[in-house]
Amino acid sequence: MPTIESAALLLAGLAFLTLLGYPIVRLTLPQDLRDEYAHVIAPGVGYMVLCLFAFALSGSVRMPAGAATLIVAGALALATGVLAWRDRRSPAAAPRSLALRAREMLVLMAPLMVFMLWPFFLDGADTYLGAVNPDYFAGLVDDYFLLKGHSIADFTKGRDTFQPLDYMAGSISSSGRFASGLVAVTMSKLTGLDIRTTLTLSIALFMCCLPPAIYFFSRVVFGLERRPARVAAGLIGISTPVAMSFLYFYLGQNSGLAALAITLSLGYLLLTRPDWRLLVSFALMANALLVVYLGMLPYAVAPLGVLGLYQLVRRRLAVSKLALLLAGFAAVSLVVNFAMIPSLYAMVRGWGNVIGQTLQGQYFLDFLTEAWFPLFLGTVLYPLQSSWYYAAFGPKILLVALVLALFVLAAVVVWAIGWARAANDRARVVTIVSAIVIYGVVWWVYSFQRQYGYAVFKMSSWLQFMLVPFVAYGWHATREGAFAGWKKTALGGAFALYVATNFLGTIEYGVKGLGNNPTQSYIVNNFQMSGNRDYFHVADEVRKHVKPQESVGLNFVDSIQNFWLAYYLRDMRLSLLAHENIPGDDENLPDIQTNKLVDYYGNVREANNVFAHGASDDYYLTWSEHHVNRDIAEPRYSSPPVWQDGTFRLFRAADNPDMFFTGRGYYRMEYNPGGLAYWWPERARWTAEGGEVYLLRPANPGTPRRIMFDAVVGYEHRDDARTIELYADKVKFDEIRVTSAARYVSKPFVPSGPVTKLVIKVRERVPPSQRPLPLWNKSIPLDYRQLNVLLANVHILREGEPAIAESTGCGRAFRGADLLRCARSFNGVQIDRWIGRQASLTFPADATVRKATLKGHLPPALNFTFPYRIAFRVNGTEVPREIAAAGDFSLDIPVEGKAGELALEIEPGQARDREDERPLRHKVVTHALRLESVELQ
Amino acid sequence: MRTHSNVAVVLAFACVSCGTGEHLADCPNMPVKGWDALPQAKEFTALSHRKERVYEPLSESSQVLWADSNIAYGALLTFDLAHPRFASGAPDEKCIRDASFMALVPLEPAREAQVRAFTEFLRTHGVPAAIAGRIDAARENKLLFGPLGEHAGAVIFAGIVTQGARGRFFRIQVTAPR
Repeated sequence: MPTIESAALLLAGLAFLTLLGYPIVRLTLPQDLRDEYAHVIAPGVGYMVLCLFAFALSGSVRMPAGAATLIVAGALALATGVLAWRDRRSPAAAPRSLALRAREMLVLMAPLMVFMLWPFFLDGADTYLGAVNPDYFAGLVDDYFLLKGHSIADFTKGRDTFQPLDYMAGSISSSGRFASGLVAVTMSKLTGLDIRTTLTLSIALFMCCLPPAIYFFSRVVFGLERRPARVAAGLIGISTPVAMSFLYFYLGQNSGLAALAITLSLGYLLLTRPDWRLLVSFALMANALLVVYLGMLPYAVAPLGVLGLYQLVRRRLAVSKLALLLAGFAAVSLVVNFAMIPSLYAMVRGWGNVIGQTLQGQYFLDFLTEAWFPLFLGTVLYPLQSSWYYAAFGPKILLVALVLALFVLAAVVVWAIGWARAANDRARVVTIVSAIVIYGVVWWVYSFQRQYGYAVFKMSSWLQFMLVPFVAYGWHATREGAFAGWKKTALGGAFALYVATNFLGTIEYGVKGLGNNPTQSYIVNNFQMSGNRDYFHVADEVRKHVKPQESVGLNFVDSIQNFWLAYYLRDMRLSLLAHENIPGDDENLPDIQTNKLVDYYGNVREANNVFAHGASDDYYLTWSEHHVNRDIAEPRYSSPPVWQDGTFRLFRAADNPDMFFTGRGYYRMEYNPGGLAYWWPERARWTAEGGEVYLLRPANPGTPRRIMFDAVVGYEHRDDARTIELYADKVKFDEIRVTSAARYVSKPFVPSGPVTKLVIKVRERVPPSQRPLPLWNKSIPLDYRQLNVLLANVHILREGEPAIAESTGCGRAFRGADLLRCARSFNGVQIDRWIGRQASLTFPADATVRKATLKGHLPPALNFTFPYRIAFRVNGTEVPREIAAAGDFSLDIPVEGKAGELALEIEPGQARDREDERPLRHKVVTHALRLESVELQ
Repeated sequence: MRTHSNVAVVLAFACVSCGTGEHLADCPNMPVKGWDALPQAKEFTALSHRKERVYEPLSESSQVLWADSNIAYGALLTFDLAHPRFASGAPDEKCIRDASFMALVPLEPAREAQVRAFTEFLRTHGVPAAIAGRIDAARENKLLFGPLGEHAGAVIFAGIVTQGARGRFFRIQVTAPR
């Protein structure tokens, strides 16, 4: 059902955009261009002029944005009606002609619709969210603000911290307010559909306008014949970097992709065949690009500057004519924008600062490395570590990808030279070569001078419009016999490689976008959001239980999901118990004593969550047990939920004391799908310095609690051990030394009030992992994160409550990964069950257990002396054992005393530090023996 | 009048890309005046990497930062900017409400000179010598970051802060009264 509805909405949206764009293309394209291109660029021009005029109207007279969009859409539709009536007898208006044009458009769009947009159709326009990008949410909230009767020039900030959405709405920076959001506002006003649906629909529409724009660009600027131009349109539909842009669900950027190609093409036409009508169309599109996505405007106009100079030098354009064109451009721009100039100036300044900044953050650093070429050519996916071929072949595949990318790049260069030689007009060559040089210089500056990963990341998607015509030309030229012999074979292979890798990459991005399976999908911020219709009912269900004056504490894994819930529950009183910051800021641990936070840019501020209201909330809304997005801290609720479905559970706070949840200091959630040969927590978070855990409303205040957690020691520190300190409300109450991996139950602490903040603090520091084969920008790490300690399975236990293993019901035989999964506690056991100098494990055991059989392996390669002595301590009793020779062993150990559990300590007589494995493991592990099973009898 | 102002802004448009930095005013309640000139002081010209962080609703401020490196900085000058008319028609009108400088420890000579220059700036712009002296003492004794005194309502902080990814810094901060 969502597929058919979404397809119908998409087609209706394309017809609507064509309706809006028709008056512009009808009036500003000369007749010869109109016949072939009017319908091709009409939808793209349609959304651009809608955004431009509605933005200007709303901002100029402070008209509500919704009203402005309706007025502009109405005026454009009326103009279309008048023009259609006037042209009703022209051959182009005949039904057959219209049908042919519609068919041509669908043919151009088909590859993109099928191979890139399929998750949108599958999940539906109402739920698909791509990578669940906070940028999209910021656009949604801004459109929500505009739909409340505000104009483009209005900004505000809420005061009621129980209303997180309204607190944030209207507070976007002026450079972040993209006019392209007005397409969604228009459609929402016209159809009554939710703004979330129309915003998602508008992104799909922007994407659909891209292949026709590429066709137009390939024909007009590249001078390709119709067939290769259609191939170029098809190639953009399977372009991996474009699929990445769609997956990231950027509102401004995705609206700019088609606009960039159309604007540059119109500018080219204007300079090669000056005409006042083309001047108007180019000026409108350039001004639209200014408000839709200013960052792309220089990419559209800079190559035209070189072309203009070339035309002057070759006397194809008189100085007076160029001056007239510039004056005309300025005049059109002034007419459209005059009343908006101060606002636009502020926006341009904001963008100037964004583009010009040279102090950078931690995102998109991969694009500053040698991975850029494979990423740009679509032979690999971003992030590199999160793709099926990386999972299948490991890091060495990057070298292969680089070689393949260079092969494709060499072919592109050959095709480009061939195209330049064959071009029938030097103006085309000047335009394209100047564009490549300019874009190349920009890439160089951002890659090497400013090291601005975000800019280069964006360029990799933006510049696909320049790449695919060359590939299409290469296909055409090869087919036409321009290359022979080994060249034909090699270039044919490069084309096939390009198509195959991009096709696979686009499909894989689509699979990731479904957001159902975290494996290799960490480009998606939050899982099971796309396609999840439980969000539509949550407000109605919660409202059945929560009275108007009561509040609900939202407990989800990050700010992205918290704020999405705040959107759906926006009419209720809400708290965000934690995770109110975007994940990149949430990962900084505040100082334990001062609660001061030092962010990546050195700002020192109070770690104050304005949306948390202590232990005052009446209800908690959290994830269901079946949902992927579960945190590492999950309380065992005392009372059942008052309501639940497949995604959410609603608990009454008074019935559920000892509520706990994670705070700051953690990187994003990671989920282990299982099936590994070694133990790894099902749900885990890395931390650089440690993390916070909050305890609310302790039952029986004044009685002690213990915190337990699983910890795995991370990388880039020689020692395979860390010192972990535990604090409760700033007071240190425990300290342990974790070796390799541990499940630890702390000493007791006493909660001091309704809210207790616990901190799991790691004493050591580690740097980020370095890249294995850096070719340039060697300081850029493999992963910006400091993978110090992995934390999982966090619980707060009441006095006397046993530790909670990851698995229960393990029986009496603990084999393989179950050794760590089922142990109540352990320390010194590596995830692959190797033991170094010392280890301890505790298993549940009833009083009838008399013997434990330990099976394992003693490696011959470590040159131990035999007999090999191991000191065991079983429930406090020392039991020495000897092993005569290397290889598999089986030892029987008597068990006495202590009902309820078996506490086993192992101290091998000899061990080896594996310095030789440090390059692989990024730490020095110690090997003595490998434990395979413990069987209780 | 509005037409004239628009024309003036049209002219200013032309200068957006020519690199002329905008003048940053001090907020009325910031008792230390003249911050805008500080980045041009010779000790700070090495801080050539600039960044503006857009308005952030939770802190109700934006920022402009200068650093000595584009990623792994060792010295960082920051102006925290208030937007007093954000919700009343001028969201981009801003003024300096807090200023800070921080340098990676140990302070090698160039960074130490920058710390001294920042302290000297405070001393010559009205901050009592006693407070400036406490900053020097905090630097010499590597004290943890904390308030050292008040000047016309503004709180002056100094001391060592630790950022998990970046390391330990000596930081001086002037916070105007809210």
